[in-house]
Amino acid sequence: MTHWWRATWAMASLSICEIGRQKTWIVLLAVIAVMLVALASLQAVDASAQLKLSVVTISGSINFISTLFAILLVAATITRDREQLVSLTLFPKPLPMSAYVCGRWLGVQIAIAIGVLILNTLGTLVVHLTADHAIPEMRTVHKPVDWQRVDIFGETSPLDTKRVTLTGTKKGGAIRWDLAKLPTNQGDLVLLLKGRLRAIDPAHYQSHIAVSARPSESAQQTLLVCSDESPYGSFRPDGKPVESGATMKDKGDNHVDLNQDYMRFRLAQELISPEGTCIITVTRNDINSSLSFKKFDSCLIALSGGGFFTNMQRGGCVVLAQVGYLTAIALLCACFSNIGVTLLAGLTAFFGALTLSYIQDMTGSGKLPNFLVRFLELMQFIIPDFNRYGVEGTLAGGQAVGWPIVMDAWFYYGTFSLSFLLIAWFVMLRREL
Amino acid sequence: MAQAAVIQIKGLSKTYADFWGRARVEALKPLDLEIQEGEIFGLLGPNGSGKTTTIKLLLGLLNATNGDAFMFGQDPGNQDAKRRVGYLPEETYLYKFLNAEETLSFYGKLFGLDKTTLDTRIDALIKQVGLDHARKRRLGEYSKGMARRLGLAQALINDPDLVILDEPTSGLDPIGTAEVKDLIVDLKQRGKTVLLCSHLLADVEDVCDRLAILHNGQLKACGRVDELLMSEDRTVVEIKAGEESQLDAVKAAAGEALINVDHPRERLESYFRRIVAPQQDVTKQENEA
Ligand SMILES: Nc1ncnc2c1ncn2[C@@H]1O[C@H](COP(=O)(O)OP(=O)(O)OP(=O)(O)O)[C@@H](O)[C@H]1O
Ligand SMILES: [Mg+2]
Repeated sequence: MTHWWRATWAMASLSICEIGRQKTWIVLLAVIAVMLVALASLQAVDASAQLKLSVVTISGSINFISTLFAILLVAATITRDREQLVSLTLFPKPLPMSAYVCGRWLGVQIAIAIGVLILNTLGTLVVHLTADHAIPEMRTVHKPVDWQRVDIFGETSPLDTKRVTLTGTKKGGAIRWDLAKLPTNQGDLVLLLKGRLRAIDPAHYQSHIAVSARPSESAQQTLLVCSDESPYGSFRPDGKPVESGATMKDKGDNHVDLNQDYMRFRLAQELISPEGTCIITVTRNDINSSLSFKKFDSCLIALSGGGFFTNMQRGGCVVLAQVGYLTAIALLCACFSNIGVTLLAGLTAFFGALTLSYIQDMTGSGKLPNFLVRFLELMQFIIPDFNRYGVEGTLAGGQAVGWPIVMDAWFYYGTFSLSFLLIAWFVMLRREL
Repeated sequence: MAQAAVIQIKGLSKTYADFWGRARVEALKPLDLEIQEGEIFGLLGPNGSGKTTTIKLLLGLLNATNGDAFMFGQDPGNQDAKRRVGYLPEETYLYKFLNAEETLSFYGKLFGLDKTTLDTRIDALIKQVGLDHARKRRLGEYSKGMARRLGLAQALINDPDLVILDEPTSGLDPIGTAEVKDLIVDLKQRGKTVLLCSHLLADVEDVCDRLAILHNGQLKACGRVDELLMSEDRTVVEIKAGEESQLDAVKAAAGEALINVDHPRERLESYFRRIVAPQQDVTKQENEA
């Protein structure tokens, strides 16, 4: 076993050396230059949108470039082993085929990881320099466990839908969210709230609500006021500050930026029970508009999610998981075909993975012939979905990319990678030199 | 001392097939061969006679169509057997982006050699193959002969018990060729086994204990070099000193000056031509037809 590791590591360091000594650095520099130029020419309506745009562009292009790079590198290195017949000096040595396959894969993976690390560091720097704002704050969110409807007399009734709308001609209808397992050692927490708003009259595009909290069922309600950093909610449409409660704006499903789209309230530590529970009640105080909320997305507790840089790097880990899949595919192709075919197959897998979610939407439309639907359904066992984690969107929305996401991504893409590596190993075992 | 067979080949044959599995070339017809420990064995044959194919089958780089091959009593491709083998392919295929030291260090690591052993061995091998002046240069800049020399060093990095050399002198200068010959003799003195493929018959004749001649994938001759080259229809009389004209007198006299009456040796070259020539004509005719 130790010999296997040594051989694998020898192969991996060879790959890293090979990649390092190629002229690929020039391409990398060119990419950075293009990125900077592109960023300088991007114009958004305001500073916060500009920041968001920079984050999306930078992390998006880093992801795109590194995945493409991986395909190119594998195609170049492995096919060369075969075409330049280096394998004739390689395989008479005690080099297990599995160590060769794993070592090659690992080497490319490490080389890309180094590249992603460098690019992400530069990317953070660029975001810092181009945005007038400071580096965006990153948050992880804590979602409620349950919710109930509260009628105007204070009677609660369970809700089994994921979305509910408060409407009617009487004030006072409310929603209560139950939160559990909140951290009790972090002092005051931040409550985030948003909702969709519908009104007939433009004068009521903002709606008055009351937000209150209590640690448990039996405790006294405390009315919350918007905190100073809240992007909206503290002022009435006429510009005067609200005396009590808050004014809500229409924020639909597309508004997911934790920094921009949610009202913020300070949730004092007294309002959280020692067990970490808290009950939040939102009451509708304006009969001219209807409010609708979602069970898990409208009322959140924001916790600090670490710095932008670390989140960017964790996002890089998710990208690496995707790269691992592409590396494995390209490695498999390189085992039996030339550099051109390998590149083509790698690119096909890449764009297939990018468009998989759209293809799946299409299969659900019922407009395609049956055999095509079956075929496309089968595709998802070969091609993973690269939009599954949407790292750049997450980062731009101020949301942290936590380790659980990274683990989940490695498990998801890792299954695909492992399958293709196994096939590659099998193919290599059968192959003659 | 009973010698152990390092290489055992039993009825080994190889037919190259195309992509669809249809037989294309019968490169090796069933072959039986045994190479003993400490022997220098020459494998000869014209181009395309199946020498490289035999070696690749031994190393497990090709899958045999029929028959068995064993190295150190193990199947081809066995990792333990591979640890004791050094192989120089017929052309030098090495990574162009590495320099001489890195190349040897990489191959050494595949054998799991520790750093101190590796460092001393790399140093010794680079000096032995005469590349001391170019040890830091990338192989992409090497000349053909320089790469060949490094290929030879690469084959010896694990101090192998069995060295398989496929045309080791191709591309080497006369000094290099002589050095390779010395190296082979040195290996024999250290008790190693050598399997040598070469087209330089004079060299094979000089260093090999036994040899086999393949032609069109068929074994045409196999045996000790001395025995194969013995001409039994003639007799040579060696005399201490004297001239041709005196030979009869010397013979008749058969006095004390007569030291040795023995079968003279044929040159390997003429022997090789004799073995190979008639069939070559046959192939030629076949091709023309
Ligand atoms: N990959 C291959 N596919 C098909 N036929 C092959 C392949 N490799 C070798 N052959 C054929 O097998 C036969 C033996 O080839 P081999 O390379 O063993 O010859 P050789 O004795 O090493 O010749 P040389 O002295 O030129 O090196 C030849 O007829 C050759 O055409
Ligand atoms: Mg050959």
